[in-house]
Parts: sequence; C-alpha cells; structure tokens
Amino acid sequence: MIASAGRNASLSAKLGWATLAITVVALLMAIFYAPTDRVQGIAQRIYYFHVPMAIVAYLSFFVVLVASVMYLWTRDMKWDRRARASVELGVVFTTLVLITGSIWGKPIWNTWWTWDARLTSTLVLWFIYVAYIMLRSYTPDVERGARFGAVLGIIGFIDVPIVHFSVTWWRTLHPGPVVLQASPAAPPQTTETFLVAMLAAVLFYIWLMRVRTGLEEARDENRELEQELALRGGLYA
Amino acid sequence: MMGSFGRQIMAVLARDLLLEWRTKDALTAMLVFALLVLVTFDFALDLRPEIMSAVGPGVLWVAVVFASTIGLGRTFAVERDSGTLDGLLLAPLDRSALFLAKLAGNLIVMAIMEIVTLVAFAVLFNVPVDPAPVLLIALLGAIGIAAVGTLFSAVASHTRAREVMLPVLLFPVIVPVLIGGVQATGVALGNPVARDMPWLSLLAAFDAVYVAAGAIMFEYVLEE
Amino acid sequence: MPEIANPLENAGYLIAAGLITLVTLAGYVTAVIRRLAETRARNDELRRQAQAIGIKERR
Repeated sequence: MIASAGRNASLSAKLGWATLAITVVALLMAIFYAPTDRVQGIAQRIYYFHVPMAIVAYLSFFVVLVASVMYLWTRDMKWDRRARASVELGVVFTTLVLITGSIWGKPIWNTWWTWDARLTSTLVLWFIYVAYIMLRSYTPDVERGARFGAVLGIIGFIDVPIVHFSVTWWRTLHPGPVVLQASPAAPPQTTETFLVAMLAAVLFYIWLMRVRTGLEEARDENRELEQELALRGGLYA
Repeated sequence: MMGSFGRQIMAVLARDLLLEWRTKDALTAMLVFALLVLVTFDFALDLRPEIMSAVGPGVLWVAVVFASTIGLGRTFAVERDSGTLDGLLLAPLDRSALFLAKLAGNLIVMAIMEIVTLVAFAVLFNVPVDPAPVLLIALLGAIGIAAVGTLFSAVASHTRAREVMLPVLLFPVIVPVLIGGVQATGVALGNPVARDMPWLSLLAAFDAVYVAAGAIMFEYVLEE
Repeated sequence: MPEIANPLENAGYLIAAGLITLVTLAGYVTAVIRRLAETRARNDELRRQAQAIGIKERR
C-alpha cells in the first residue's frame, strides 16, 4: 500500500508539473500570441480562460453523474469520494465562470449581469450543485449522504439540457447580447490558443481531482480509524 | 391493467387522501399561503391592470410554486414524525408504487390549490382568464413540480434543516417548469410578448423525464 | 459592430478577470494541498494509536 501510494504521488506530481507548464504556455499565448479582437479590444482575451473553465465545469458535473451511477451500482465508497471531489471542483469553476463572465460583459454591454441564455443556465447549474454541497453537509450519516448525493448527482445532471433548452427558448423572446459571437473567420492563432488553454484546463482538472479525491480518501480513513479507536478503547487525542 | 402494482398505488393513495380529507391540513396551508403570496405581490409590485398582462403569469406561478413547497414538505415529514413511515416501508410495497401514490396524492391537492388560486387571481386582479388552457398548463406544471418535489421531500425529511433543504433543492431543478409555465400562461392570457414556443411539449417532456426518474430513484432514497 | 478605437482601453477588465481567476485557483489548490497534508498527518497519528491497542490494519 505504501508502494502504490508512492507511485500515485509521483504520477500526481508529474501531472501537476505538466499542468503548470502548459498553463504558463496557455497564459503567454493568451496574452501575446492570440490576436486582438477588433470590436472588443483586449478584454476579449477573457474568452481563453472563461470558456475552457465552463467546459471543465460541465465535465466535472458529468463526472459526478458517472460517479453517482457507479456508486449506486457498486456501493464502493471510492465512487462517492470522486463525486464529492468533482462537485466541489465543479462549483469552484462555475463560480469563476460566472464572475469572469460578468466582468467580460461589463465593457461589452455596459452591464455587470445579463440574463442571456448561457449565463442564466450557468447560474441555475451553480444553484443545483451548491444545493448538493448543502445536502451533503446537512446529512450527517455517511452512507445516507453518499446515497442522497448520488440521487441528486443524477437528477441534477438530467436537468442540465432541459434547463438549457428552456432558458434558450425564453431568451429568444428578448434577444440580448450573446456571449460568444461566432466571428466569421477566426484566425488560426485564436483556435490554437484556445486549444492550448483547453488542454491546460483539462489537465488542471485531472490533476486537482486526484489531489482532492486523495483528501476525501484520507478524511474517510481518519473517520473510520476514529470510530474504531472509540469503539475499542478510547481516543488518546 | 390494475395489476398488483396499480392496486398498491391505489391503496396508499386512498389512505393518504382519506387522511387529508379528515384534516385538510395540507390543502388549507397551501391555499392560505398561495392567496397570501398573491396579496403580498400586490403590495410589492403595485399590480395595476396595465402591467398585469406582462407580470400576471409570473405572479400566479410564484404563488403556486411557493405554496406547493409547503405542501410537498409535509409529504414525508408527517410520516416520519408520527412513525408511520416505518410501517409503510416494512410493508411489501414496490418503492416505485409508493412514489407514484405519494405523487398522485400531492398532485390532487396541488390541483385543487391551483384552481382556487387561479380563481382568486382572476378576481383580485380583474384578469379575464380562459380557464381551460390555463388549467391544462397548471396541471402539466404541477406534475413536474410534484414529481421532483415528492422525491426531494423524501430526501429533505432525512436532513438536519428540512424546511430549508426542500426549496434549495427544488427551485433550481424546476426552473424549466417555471419558465415554461409562465410563458405558456402568458400566451394563453394573450400576452403579446410571450411568444409561441413549444412550451407545452417542454412541460410534458419534463414531466415524463422526472416522473420516471423519481420512480426509479425513489428506492435509493428510502433504503433504511 | 463598430471597431473599438483603443483596443487597450478594456485592459482593466482583462486584468481583473485574470487576477481573480489566478488568485482563486491558486488559493484553492493551496488550501486543498495544505488540508491534505494535515489530514495525512492525523492519519499517521491515528494509525499509531490503533497499532498501540492492537487494531489490525484494515483495507
């Protein structure tokens, strides 16, 4: 077990450094290499981290869905740990998407918030998974918390496309500003920068998932140990 | 058609409806709260006739959703507190049947609440309402709210802050019902801004997905 | 849409968004790693206690 922990740790470390390296490259490309947008000016570069984070947020919640199904199927706690970790990462990313989206919107539409389809859907998404975190924290029993989390992880993700459609249809009534304008011909530097940024974001997610899941694993172990110790003969804490 | 599954549903449903009929607790609470919300909106928004066509459907639906939360919250709280939930779970009841029975019970009470609320809305705000389409929309919406709400009520009743957890869980998930319901009602009331999107299909699809999902997931919530 | 006169005019927003993102993510990563170290330390301590009263290691 110690040997495998060692191997895991070294893989995580390598992944971490790779992530950092690619993130630095992506950052430099976003600042210097990518072309300046004629209409939005330099603020458009927010796109290179706003959009990848949004995609990774949805990825996080999809992982929660898979982990939830797997947990209900196998009842193996490792799946619940992954769900717990991925939910938290997803909420962090979603929060940043909302904040950067708001900041990006200010110079473009002169407003800090707009109820456009994407931002609104993202806001609803945020609430669904914040509710997940609240639910887990209000459910003291471990097994029940895992079960309830799994149910919500599934129910919540099913809603994502439905919310998207309903909000998009709602927004066709008041055509507001669109966050992502499809430029007629995006120069290759834009696509290249975006892809590198996307790679950085995904690597970051994978690396952080490993670390965060490791934290849940350590916490679960502590909890079990504390229970055993309390049972067998008093805690010398 | 009325196999043992159907009979199970009817048995639980009949029991719940009988209990509710005797006390009318849930119905009264929901009705009073819905009416209160309507009146509060008048104070909050000063609902003059000229803005009613734009704002009316929203006011109606917020009242319905808030009132429904009251009723849904009671679905399992009462059972747990009085200890009858264990009895239900020990009986050889198909969990999906139990879910559908609870769903149907909630739906019936919600429907009565919606009818009365709609009448009050039309009277209080002097809004000409064509009842048939609006009630259809209200019913479709109620099915979706009740499906998600019944499932989440079971979840919330096992948590530490159950009055808070149910709305926090419910409201984000039923956003499509709220949007679809308000827009469809707007169309039915002749609101020029509300455009004809397939709102009824959206509501129906939501209902189908969440009644099925609820029936499937319910057993995982009630494992004890 | 009209072309922007001075492309650098909105630099403040880019910097704000970028800084918030960097600080938040760096802060979060640091918090997780630190918490992980603490939890693992507690883990070792608990294991020692468990061994002291003879609990066999479970997996």
